[in-house]
Amino acid sequence: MTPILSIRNLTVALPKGGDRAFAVEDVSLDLHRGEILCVVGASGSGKSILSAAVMGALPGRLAIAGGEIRLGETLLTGLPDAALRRIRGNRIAMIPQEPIAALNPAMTVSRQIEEVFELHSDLARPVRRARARDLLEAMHLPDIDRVAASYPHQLSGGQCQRIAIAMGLAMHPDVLIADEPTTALDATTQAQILKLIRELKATGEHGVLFITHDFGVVRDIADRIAVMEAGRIVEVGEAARVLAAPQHPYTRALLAAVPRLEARAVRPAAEAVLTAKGLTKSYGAKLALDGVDISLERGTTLAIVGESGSGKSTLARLLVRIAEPTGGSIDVGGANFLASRGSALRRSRRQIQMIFQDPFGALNPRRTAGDIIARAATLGGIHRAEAKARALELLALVGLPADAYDRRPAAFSGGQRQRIGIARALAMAPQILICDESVSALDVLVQAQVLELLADLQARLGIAILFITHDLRTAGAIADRIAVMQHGRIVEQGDAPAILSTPAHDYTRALVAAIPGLSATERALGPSIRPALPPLPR
Amino acid sequence: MKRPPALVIGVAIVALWLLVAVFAPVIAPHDPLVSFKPLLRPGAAAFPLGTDLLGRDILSRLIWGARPVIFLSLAATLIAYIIGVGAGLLAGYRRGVLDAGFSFIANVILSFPVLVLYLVVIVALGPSYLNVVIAVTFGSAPAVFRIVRAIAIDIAGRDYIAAAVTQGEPTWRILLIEILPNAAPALAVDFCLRLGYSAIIIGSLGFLGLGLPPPAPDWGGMVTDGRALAFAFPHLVIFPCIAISSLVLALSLIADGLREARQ
Repeated sequence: MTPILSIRNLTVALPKGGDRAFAVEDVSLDLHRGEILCVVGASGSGKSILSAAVMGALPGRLAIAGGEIRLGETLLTGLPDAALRRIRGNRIAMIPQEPIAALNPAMTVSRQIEEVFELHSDLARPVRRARARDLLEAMHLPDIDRVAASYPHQLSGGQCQRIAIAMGLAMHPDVLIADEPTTALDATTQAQILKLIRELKATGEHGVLFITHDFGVVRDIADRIAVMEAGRIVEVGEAARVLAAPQHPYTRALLAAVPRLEARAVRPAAEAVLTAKGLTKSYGAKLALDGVDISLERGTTLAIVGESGSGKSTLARLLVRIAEPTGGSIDVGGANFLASRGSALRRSRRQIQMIFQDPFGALNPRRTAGDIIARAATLGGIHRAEAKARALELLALVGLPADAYDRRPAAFSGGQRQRIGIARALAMAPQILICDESVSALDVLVQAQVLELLADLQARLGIAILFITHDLRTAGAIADRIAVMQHGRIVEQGDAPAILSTPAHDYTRALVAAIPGLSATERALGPSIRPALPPLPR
Repeated sequence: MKRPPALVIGVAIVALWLLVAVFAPVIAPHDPLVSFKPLLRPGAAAFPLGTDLLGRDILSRLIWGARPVIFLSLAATLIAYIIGVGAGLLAGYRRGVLDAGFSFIANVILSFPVLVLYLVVIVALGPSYLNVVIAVTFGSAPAVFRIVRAIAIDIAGRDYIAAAVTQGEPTWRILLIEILPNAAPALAVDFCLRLGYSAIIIGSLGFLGLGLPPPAPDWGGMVTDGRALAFAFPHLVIFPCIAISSLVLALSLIADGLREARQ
């Protein structure tokens, strides 16, 4: 069978002075109808550039330096813009990463889909409208009339993604390019969208080029897998073969870094260092947090798991007092944290530090890493003269070289910045670390390293960690106990192995079922138990 | 980093005017207040740009006139920035009642047509160097405040500010060390544009007879003096107009260049 999309020796040059000469180098791939080809790689591996090249929509500074792309019989490389425009959205369609950003906020859903027909066909208006409706129906959207007349902001992220897919499918494209189509979605929504894409594949009409960094998703959806590293394809093959017997060391490293769904044995209870009771936060009439009780014990980790909007980030902000609760109490080390004011509050803040989600936003771009950490050490009570030495110690502790001291955040990768954020928090010598989705912005290899670093620091320093995440695998990998949040409430709370293997609440069960890429054994047997970490130093 | 040509040209022109202003006593061929033969046309070796109605050398008056325009607009803009940045950072970071109060005052001032505002201030206080600075500062500070406040609100929402708060940083350090340096590139652009506006305003005040008391050399005042005879003797108004335009244009070029360099 001839492939519908054929890429031969494709090379895309980067502007001079970048960290490598080519964004994509000598890539050859074939995609057939009725097939999902997953391109997997870390951020910066060139997988998004590859998809942009196929769409003929490379960012301005990049150009194809060699090779060719064929769509059926049509040679796409070197085609003039006007001809490419007739192909884009018509024979090749894109499913975007951020569906809400990809839709026009000032146009109703129905109009946006009709516009695709307007551009690429000469169908009459009523026919266009009827087709748009059919497409929405095929996307299993509820209440079609209401959705069709809605503006994007009136719909959920998952609904918007279905609409973006409907627009992509409007002209029955030969090739669908999905660039991280579920990364911005919650786990349960992701599971539904993946199911929809599998259905599309089953029609045998389209070839799907699926770009992702998530091996869970790959396991669920791929027919074939291509692994990219630094612009090159290092391994390509049937999904079952690549997952079971990866040939290339990089593929093996990536697969090994995916946390398995397993909980580790719970460490014995110690004294509580952080207790919150009846914590409530309302924004006007909206209740973001509704009577949350948690208790965090010395040297242990409590994971707070929930989807976006569940209130888990609000909880973190209240615990470090970036925001003030509407009601409830917070005790840190036996003292009422909420009663603290002014300079007393500034002093007591050092006991409870936060590591943020976005490593790019959490560091002041105008200050050097060393300055940031040394200042934190000074605030943590170390004399100014010794702060630099302490900062250098901490850089070494989080695995950064000493010359990192004089560099600004822009000179570091996401994982390195997260390490600087951890060093900054540790410089205050806190008893408690609040990690708000601290690894979700990182690549899987880096994610594993940062989780390992946190566990290691915890074992050495006896810090208590409150780990906020949307990902049950990550929670299982790090937590002693798990609390599941939904709509501002904790619906279930308990030891990690129990929550993962025998979830009691419906919502927890739905979350566990929605974890992408569970192997057959994981589904059948539930999570395995890892040996406990060594006991804490007293 | 490559320097945008706009920046280079702008800096060159402004530097030239600065040198002219500083070394006015050395380079001016004549005393700007002494009368020679009136209404000489440009071209003569002794009076290359001609003389005015009272026989004063136009070149020398332009050279001396660079001083008040440059130093008054610089002083007014700097003071406006000190007030606007201080109030804007505090209002944008703290929000609440403080912000509401500052914003209300700024909006009331900005709701007057600017020229009317300057007229009111000058008429109330009388024309003098100091009062020109006060008037221009009064008009600029609220605009600076609004820009700084908007930037501060944006930056205050970033995680590194939250991190500074959880570390117990005092407010003044958050304002001056965490927020201000990140606002600086945008403010540098606005500063240059505003310096140009101030130069125009000072020229306009001079033109309206509200600038410096005569017979001090003043570009705006020179245009007013020559206005009645402008058709017969265009050199009376053309040269001071070119002087003002070149300075304002150069400042705009610097602003554009800075903006380009940032991207």
